[in-house]
Amino acid sequence: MRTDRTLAALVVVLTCVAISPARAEDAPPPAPTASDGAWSHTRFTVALPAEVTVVGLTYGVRPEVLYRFGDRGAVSRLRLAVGFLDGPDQLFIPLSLGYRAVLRQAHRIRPEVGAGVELQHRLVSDFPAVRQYGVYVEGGVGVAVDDRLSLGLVVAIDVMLYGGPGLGLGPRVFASWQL
Amino acid sequence: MSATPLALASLLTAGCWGAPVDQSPVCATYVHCIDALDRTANQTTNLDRYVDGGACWGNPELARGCTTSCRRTLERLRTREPTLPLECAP
Amino acid sequence: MKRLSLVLLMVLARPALAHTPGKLLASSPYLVANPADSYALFGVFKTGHERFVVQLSHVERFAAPVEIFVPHVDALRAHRPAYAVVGPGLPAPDAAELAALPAPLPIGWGAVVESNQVSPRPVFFESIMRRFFWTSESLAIVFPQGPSEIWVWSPEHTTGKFGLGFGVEEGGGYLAALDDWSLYAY
Repeated sequence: MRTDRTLAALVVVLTCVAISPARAEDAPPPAPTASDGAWSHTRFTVALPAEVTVVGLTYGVRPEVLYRFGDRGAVSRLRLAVGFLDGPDQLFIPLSLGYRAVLRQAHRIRPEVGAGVELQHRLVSDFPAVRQYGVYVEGGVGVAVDDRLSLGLVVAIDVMLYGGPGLGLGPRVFASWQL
Repeated sequence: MSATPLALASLLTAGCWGAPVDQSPVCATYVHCIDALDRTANQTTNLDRYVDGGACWGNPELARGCTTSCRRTLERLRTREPTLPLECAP
Repeated sequence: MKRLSLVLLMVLARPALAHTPGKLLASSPYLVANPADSYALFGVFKTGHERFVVQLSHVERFAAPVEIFVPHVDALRAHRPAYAVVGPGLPAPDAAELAALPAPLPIGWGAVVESNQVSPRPVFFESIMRRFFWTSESLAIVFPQGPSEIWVWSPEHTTGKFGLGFGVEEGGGYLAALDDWSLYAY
């Protein structure tokens, strides 16, 4: 019951933080200049989110790679992620491919929204792996710590369409690093 | 109206919850067996879930559970009842 | 437009069919409101000596699958609760089953006893709650016309959670699971 309450509180806090509108006026934008080396960044960003899945309890990490379409400041990214999450009854390995928009990049606080497809594997020792296919949507906010590093919160909802119906909720905290 | 949204919706529905499946042979035997036992005892049983087109066959997951229940119950009956009707034979 | 409405109805109505959740307490019987629906009732053996009772009343003889299941976690590997459907008109149990029952059988009642000893232990994945369970495997039980009961007990006095499922996912009201999320979800 205590775990239940803790999880519920975590979900509420993360959800509130994630959906709160970012306030650009909170901080001045870290405006890069041609001389500070920022333009030498590649289009790739790597992130390490730590996640708890609320439906079908598991916890672990879901590393992701983001590829930015366009020059620095472009909104759109291709997202590829694979998770390794363990729980009391299963090992959960989701694979995601999707789109993410990172908004207001000239500001320190940057809302993120995305959607994509997901293949979920669930493993136990004495049963064949369960595979489900579906879609996800995500929303959150990142806070730029410096020119490359961001920290943030994302909440993702997935709906499995094949392999058994299911609706999932996964709050994440992440650190991302622009390569 | 275009057929595309219909097809998409049908695909989504079938994908989400699985398309209906045929009644399994072992459950067909189960239904016939219970029917035969009922005739002997002059009674009737609601077998709606197990008959062809019943709720058991709404998707593959349900069908697996129902088929298991038919198989196990027939095995029990055959072990415990020495004089079963022919309809209950494997 | 009619076809579109039909498709929408299909899409919206189908997910409404699932087991109706419920909470079993050893202190009082669970009265099944609509025995033609399907239910997934969850309880917890705290001492291992409890007997959980589910009361049903069918308007006709009624065949439905019944199973008992336990969360697939290491701590419950040896936890194998048993159940019996008991009532007038059910077959007489054999001596071993009669001895296994957790309470004396009322006069004139029969019983279908499931000792939950299938080996290797079957597993199933429940996609709504995204959980794995060990199951007794279903039996297709013919409930008698009139009153009957399902008794659940722990033969080895093991403790822990369990679920009792009956019917073919034809119930509603599954949002009631939100009332006691930890019981159903973890």
